[in-house]
Amino acid sequence: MEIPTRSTKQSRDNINWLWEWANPVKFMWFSGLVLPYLIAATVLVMGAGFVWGFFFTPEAVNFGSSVKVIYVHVPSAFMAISAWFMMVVASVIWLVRRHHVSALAAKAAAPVGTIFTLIALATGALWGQPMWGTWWVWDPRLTSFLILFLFYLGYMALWAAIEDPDTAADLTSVLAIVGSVFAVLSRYAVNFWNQGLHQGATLSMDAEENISDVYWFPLLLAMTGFFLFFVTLVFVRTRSEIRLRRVHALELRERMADA
Amino acid sequence: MLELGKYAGTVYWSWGVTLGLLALIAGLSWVQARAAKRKHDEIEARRRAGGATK
Repeated sequence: MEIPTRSTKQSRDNINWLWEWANPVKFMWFSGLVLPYLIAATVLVMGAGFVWGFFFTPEAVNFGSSVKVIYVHVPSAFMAISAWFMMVVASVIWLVRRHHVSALAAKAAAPVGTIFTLIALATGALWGQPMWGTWWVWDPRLTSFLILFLFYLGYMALWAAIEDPDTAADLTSVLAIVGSVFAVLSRYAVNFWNQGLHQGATLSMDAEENISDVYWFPLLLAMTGFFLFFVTLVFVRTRSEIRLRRVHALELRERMADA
Repeated sequence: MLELGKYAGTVYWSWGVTLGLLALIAGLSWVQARAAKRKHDEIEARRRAGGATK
């Protein structure tokens, strides 16, 4: 038998405090409070990143003005993968702790992640045509990104196909965990295989490999903007999901009372 | 107007597609949020009128 010490009790209290935020009422209160600030921060940061990247960055030696595509392509690709990992974490919380808010947050994030993946694929193809001479190649990174996109579509289709929300949350959680393999592949495919057209990572912790500061700072701003955009939309969409779940429960109660 | 040279089409199309898709998902989320709130408010009002407490 474990004898709780002061530190283990304290850490449990800390974790319990964390789980309280999974309460729908508390989530609605908190998200309602922070959403106006989140929206303002998203507009400011994303707008600043876009204006800086589009209007105030120089042409690159090898890529000319096409370098301006990185301010939309890199953040969307980064967030497409990050959104899937957020869904995996939320799905694991659902499977372990059965917190409905986490399952609904994962469901809310999927359409946003799908759009990011679509942007990354479309802008990659648009950039690849003049640079590589082709819209598409079955390159490891491109292919794993396409599979990630199909996983997003499958995830949303699975939620839509199953009537019982708890069963849908269970099955989509398993799908999210399985799909995380392709999210990892999308990120590291260029490191695993030294083949294909896609160049190495644009962002690297290695200063030698990283892009020049003149491109890096506006890119960092654009990426922060995309991240804030994602958080804002996940909050908005999770609030809608919670409301619709409540509506569904009350409609059922009304029907039972009428019967 | 920004001088983008021979890659103007690539840059404009990439930014256009991105801004269009971002606007689409933001607009869709906003419309869905409004619809969900309206439904929720209606059923809560009906429930309160019926004398429910929870």
